[in-house]
Amino acid sequence: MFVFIIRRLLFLPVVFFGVTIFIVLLMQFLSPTQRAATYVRSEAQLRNIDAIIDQYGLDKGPHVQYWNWLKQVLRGNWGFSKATGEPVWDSFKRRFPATFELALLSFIPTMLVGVWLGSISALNRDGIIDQISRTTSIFLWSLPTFVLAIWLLVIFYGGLGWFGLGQVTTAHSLEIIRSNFHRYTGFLTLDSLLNGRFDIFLDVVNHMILPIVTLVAIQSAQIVRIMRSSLLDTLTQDFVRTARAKGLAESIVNRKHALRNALIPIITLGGFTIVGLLNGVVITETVFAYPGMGKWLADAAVQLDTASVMAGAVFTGLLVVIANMFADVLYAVIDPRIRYN
Amino acid sequence: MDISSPAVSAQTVTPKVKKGWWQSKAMRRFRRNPLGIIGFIILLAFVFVAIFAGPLTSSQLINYRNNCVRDLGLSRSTVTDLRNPVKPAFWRIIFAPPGSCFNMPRDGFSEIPKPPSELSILGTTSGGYDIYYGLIWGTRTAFYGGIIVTGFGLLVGIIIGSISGYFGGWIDTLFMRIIDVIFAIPGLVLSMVIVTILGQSLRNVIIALSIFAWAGYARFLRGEILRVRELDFVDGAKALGARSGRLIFRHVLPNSIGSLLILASLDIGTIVLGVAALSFLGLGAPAGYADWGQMVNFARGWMLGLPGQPFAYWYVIFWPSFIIVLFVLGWNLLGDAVRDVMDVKS
Amino acid sequence: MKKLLVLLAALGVCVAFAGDPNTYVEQSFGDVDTLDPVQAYDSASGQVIENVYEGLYGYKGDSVTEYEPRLATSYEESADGMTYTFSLREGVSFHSGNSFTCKDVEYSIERALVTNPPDSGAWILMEPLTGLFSDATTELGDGATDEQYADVWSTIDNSVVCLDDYTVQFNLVAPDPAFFSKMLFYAANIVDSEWAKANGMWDGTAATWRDFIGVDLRDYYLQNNMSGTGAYKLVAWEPGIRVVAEANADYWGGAPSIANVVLQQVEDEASRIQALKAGDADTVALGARSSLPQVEGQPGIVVLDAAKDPSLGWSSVAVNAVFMAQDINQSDNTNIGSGDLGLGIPSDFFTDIHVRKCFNYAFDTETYINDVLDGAGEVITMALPTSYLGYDPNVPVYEYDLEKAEEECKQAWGGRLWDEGMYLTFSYNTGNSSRQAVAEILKSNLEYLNPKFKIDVRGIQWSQFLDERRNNRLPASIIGWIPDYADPDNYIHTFYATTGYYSAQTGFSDPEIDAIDEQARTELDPAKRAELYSQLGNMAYEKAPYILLPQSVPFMIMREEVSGYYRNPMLSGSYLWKDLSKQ
Repeated sequence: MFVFIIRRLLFLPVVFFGVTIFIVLLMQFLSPTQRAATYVRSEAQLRNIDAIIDQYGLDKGPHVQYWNWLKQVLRGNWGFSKATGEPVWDSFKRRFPATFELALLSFIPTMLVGVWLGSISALNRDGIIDQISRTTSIFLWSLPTFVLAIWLLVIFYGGLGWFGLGQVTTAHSLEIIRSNFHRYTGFLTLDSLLNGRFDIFLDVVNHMILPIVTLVAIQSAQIVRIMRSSLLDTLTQDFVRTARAKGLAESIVNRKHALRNALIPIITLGGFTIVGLLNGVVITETVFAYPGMGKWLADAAVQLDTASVMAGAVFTGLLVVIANMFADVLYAVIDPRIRYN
Repeated sequence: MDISSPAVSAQTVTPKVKKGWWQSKAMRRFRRNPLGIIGFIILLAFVFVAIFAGPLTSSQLINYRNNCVRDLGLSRSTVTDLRNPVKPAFWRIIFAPPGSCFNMPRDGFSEIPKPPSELSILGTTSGGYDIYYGLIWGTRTAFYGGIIVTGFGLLVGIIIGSISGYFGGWIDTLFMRIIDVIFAIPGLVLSMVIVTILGQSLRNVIIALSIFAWAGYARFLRGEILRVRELDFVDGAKALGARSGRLIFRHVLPNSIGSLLILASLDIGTIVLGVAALSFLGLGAPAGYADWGQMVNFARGWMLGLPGQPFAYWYVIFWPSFIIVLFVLGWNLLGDAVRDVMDVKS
Repeated sequence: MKKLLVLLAALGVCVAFAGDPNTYVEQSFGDVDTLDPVQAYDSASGQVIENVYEGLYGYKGDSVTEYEPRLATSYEESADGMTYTFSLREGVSFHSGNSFTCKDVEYSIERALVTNPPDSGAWILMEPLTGLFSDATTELGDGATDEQYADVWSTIDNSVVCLDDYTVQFNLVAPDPAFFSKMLFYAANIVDSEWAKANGMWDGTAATWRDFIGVDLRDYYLQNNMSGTGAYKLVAWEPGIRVVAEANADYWGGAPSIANVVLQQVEDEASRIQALKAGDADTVALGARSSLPQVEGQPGIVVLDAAKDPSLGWSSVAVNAVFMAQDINQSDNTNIGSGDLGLGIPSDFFTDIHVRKCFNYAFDTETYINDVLDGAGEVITMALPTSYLGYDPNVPVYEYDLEKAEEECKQAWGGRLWDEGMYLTFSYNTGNSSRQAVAEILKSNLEYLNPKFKIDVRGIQWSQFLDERRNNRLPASIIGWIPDYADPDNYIHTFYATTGYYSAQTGFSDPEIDAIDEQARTELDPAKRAELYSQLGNMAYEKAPYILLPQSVPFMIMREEVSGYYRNPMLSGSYLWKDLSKQ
């Protein structure tokens, strides 16, 4: 097991170089002037474009540009984010906690709802519950994230006014910035509780509800589908039949034997759900003006802010590798047939 | 990887496409599934609309100033040829429409949507674009995007998957690491970068999505090859002197590719969602191109209606989002039914 | 599920943010790029800077022609226009607590001249004070000697001189009637020199100046820290999210009325409108006039619209025009088709005055105003805002007239254009729907004239658009200009002089126009300058180098609780926060 983890970790540098070299090569499709234009907001700034090209070495070959970037990163400097106007690392520190909270609070209900609906669906195969849950999950899975997000925005923010946009209300954001509100962890949900500000905690949760509902609705649909087919599969397997033949009660068979085994593919899927969520937050954060990584990276991508995109891609890549590693370890724990050596 | 990539759901696929398929067990099971049938019918309707997009929009082409008619070589007097199946223009717009036919005709340039009228039967969206025209030709855009991306993904996936599974060794390791990298990066953000760099067009959106589409298929096929290699009959064949290359190409590939094709074709709905998401972020086809995602994006500022009339502009958001959902729903209903059939162990 | 809904509702009710009279909230979509006044060159950054830093003088209320003293108390201009002497205000202190003296003025201006980052607006000060345009390294080129650098340094050093602690003198290299307006640009705002030096910025000496030539100021302390003398102090800038400022209780002009100002960045317009209606924002940015019906007549929202209320006297200062390149780069350029009449256009297509006039007559101003400007637009006669010195409303304009267009096009290229036809591509940067509409209006009308005229409208990425225009690969495109300083030269020279920014790109050159432009640039008498510009406007009409697009009519929306605002087009934020108050 230990060797397995080490081997997985050795894969991290592969992801790092693979992703960043790919992006640098992509940038070669642009002429130096076009690369310089990504530094420019108004046409007036173009007057001095040759100086801009010179200053940032935009006419140098890809290997020079990549080496310059790598040297910086090795010194702990991830470069400057044009999209936000501050060092990439500062943007990251500012935005990662918000997205992490959002993703985590979406991930847990996604898995729970998915597994629950998937199993009742399978246990009632072709019954009315199965039909309803399947139709609903297929329908949700067919919804573009932005369509669902916009409709929720119109109804619950525009129409009913129940939920806010952004991360906290203006009044609270002022308090957080100015008063003696300590940012212990950077995670607003935790920090507000640690500061004993339950009102801010409720406010933060309130602002996360619409993004979370959007993400859970769409992401859990695929878990439902996999859970259902996985459970159907296990229910027909020999050990379940044996258990039934032994005279065990149906519910015990289902719970103790079938469900446990059916969960195995769901664990693998957990890693991919994280990728799905990371894609999903790009859209949800844009629609709900939620100040996280997704919105930052979307802005960075459109502005060709390579420093931010590279850092973002490296980071999410590493996150996914690590998440998959945990999934594999968990897999081995649940399924005794698997041994990593 | 998303759910519709076959690697997750297709591990137990045992295709049975043999004679008497209509009476086969799988087919009978499929016919008993009303949802699958509904999905199939929805898709048939979309196929019909896509094929006959030209004739279906002939009155818009006749009444608006547009380049499609110009590029078909029609003048104001011969424009009615579009309705007449004996004229070549009727067939040309079906089988080889000029690129300009994909541009939605405009009734003025105003950002303010206009309600349905005699000219624009479903109204115009922000920018004066005809909604009906955009929906109809958008069907072609959706099929183009979906089919090309899946087709390309399959092609590359099959090649790389079989090379990987056949040769093994360092080539296999290399490809599998590349696939791991692809699975590890946030596809949407990188697609955005690619489209921004290459420029905004449907072609570049397709390129961006294709770069990520093949990995799942390659891994699935490699897995199939490895699995079959382990089987007893292969050992037997080997003992009889058959080469493993021959085995793969004669026995493994035909079987696996069949199920791969069916499963991949059902991914088209998901691909269309990807195209739509890019369009929504302002990175899809150029402004005015018949594309549902872009039409939703146009509608964004008008969803809330006017003070006191919350539904003043309902048609702007309703139609494109309804059609996208319907299209994807069609694929997913069919896909779910097909997977259900294929998952069944006899 | 039911329980969940109840919980959601319960959470929702408790958080409505009632309008707080001590806090002014604005929501807009622009990214603040930098808080360094020298580096900044965009309105989102400018809006913060102009409230935290101050210049020697500032615009008086909503006027672009009247000024009021800020950090100076009076000034004198020498008779030859070569030196300006300012008496400085005493007893002013920076937000850091340091007191303001002449050394800060000297440091601030020289810092702009030394660094002059290529993507900044520092060139505005560079030109009159040093006669150079770019930073020293770029100007001197590779292999420049130390002596050459020393020369530039002595020019910079001599351009701003402290006569005593509260008197500063500026030495120009040539008379410049626009110098005073240039000093109102935020690059000339005064920063706290002691504070800046203590935090790693240039130390103000000759010994280190060469280390700071052309640097990216975003890498330095002033990028996200501010110490000015303005009525507001920076509290926090969370890039891409919000900027928070608070009232400076020690402001020399008295503490402002509103204690907190929050600028929030919200990309989605629908979300911004919702926030305004809910009272979560006091004002929001609207992308276009077409969104106005969504807020008009709403309780609590005031809409000031110059189209409905001309007494406001507001007019736009943006000039938009269709650019017709007279020397198109021919190599491998699909934008001009075959490169000859018939299936393309020759590279010197637009040198024919009849072509330019034909295009001018074919532009449907009325459709543009109705559809693109949503019914409110003002035709301009020359590439100059109507409120500027020298603008002459009596200069004739090309009115939409397809018969005249046909007449001109028939004469163009000796009749060949009409007989053989043309093909060209009209490009706009994607996302800019009004530029796209301009292109489509022209296309539709020109194609209507003659079936042999074919035009394709193409949207390209911003970076590609700038690249192609810079390399003269675009036969026609739409350009826009907003002012750096309130002087007609900033427009007239840009659009009409042979060496002007846009005219150099189009290849438009006319010696008579150049002569008048040069004369007006150094003419110190405003009345004579106005006369010269009017003359120039009439000549430009004859030459028709551009198609001038009508200007939009400004409007402003605000919650009714707020008062004291006005609209000064030269301010990035239209008004200063210190003039606002809220019930």
